[in-house]
Amino acid sequence: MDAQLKRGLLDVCVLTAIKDDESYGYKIIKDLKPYISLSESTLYTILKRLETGSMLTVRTAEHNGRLRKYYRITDTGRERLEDFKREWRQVVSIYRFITKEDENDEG
Amino acid sequence: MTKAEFLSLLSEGLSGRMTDREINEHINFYKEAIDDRIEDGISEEDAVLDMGDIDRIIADIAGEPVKAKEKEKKKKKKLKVWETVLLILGSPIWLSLLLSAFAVFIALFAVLWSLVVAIWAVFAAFAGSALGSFAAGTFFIIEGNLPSGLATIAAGAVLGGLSIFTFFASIAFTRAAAWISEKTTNGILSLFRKKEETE
Repeated sequence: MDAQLKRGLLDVCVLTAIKDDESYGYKIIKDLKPYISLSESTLYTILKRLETGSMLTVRTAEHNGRLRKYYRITDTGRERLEDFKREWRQVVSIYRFITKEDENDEG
Repeated sequence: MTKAEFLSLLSEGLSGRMTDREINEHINFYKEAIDDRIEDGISEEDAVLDMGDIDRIIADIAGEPVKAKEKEKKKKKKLKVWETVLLILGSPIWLSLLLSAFAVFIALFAVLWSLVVAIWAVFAAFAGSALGSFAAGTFFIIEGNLPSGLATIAAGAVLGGLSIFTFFASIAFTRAAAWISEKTTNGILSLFRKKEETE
């Protein structure tokens, strides 16, 4: 996938992974694996960016005798997801237009 | 590679490139990532492998372009220290040389502009004499001395012609002197400006 495009999609992918319930790093990567591959260092950057943008909050909790960070989506994060869905409805219609032209050429 | 080895290499790689707090944050992040995988049933070695190439991780975190810039800045800083030391030590020599060079430039400018003043003086002399001759010639004619009068007026005409010629020569010479002065001054100033830019 085009690097620029992927970068734009990763933020919303991570937000979706924590949309229904808070999650942690490894779980986020596992949940996204069927759709998009993500390295630990990339995830770190994304989480930092989302936190700076107030789209998620972080809390540290004890888990099996060690510490683990949990990430939870905020209202701003949910708004970002809604914006993304809106933008991409337009992208999908353009895609349909482009592929329809291809079908006409072939026909 | 063990978890401890990985985290140790990571810590070393990031050392000096960010604050200790930031380094600890990254170490804890990767420590958690490895521990979560081990808890999930993955072996320690595979969990560490799953993190990816450590050099790549360090480059992603610390950012290679910034590193290159930092090294350049450091190099420049080091040069500056040496330069400053040499400058101080050599100041009796270069300072007096600089002052001498400056004095020479001032002298040259003075010579150039003195020539300009001289040419204008010549013009003034011709113009003044021309006017004087016209006046004297007219006076002679009024007095009734036609030959002298005409001769003096003729002389005045010649002087007038010379003064007109000298006038244009003075203008041209003044413009040339101004151009030379501007170019030389800009040239000298740009030497200093260039130094500032490289520093």
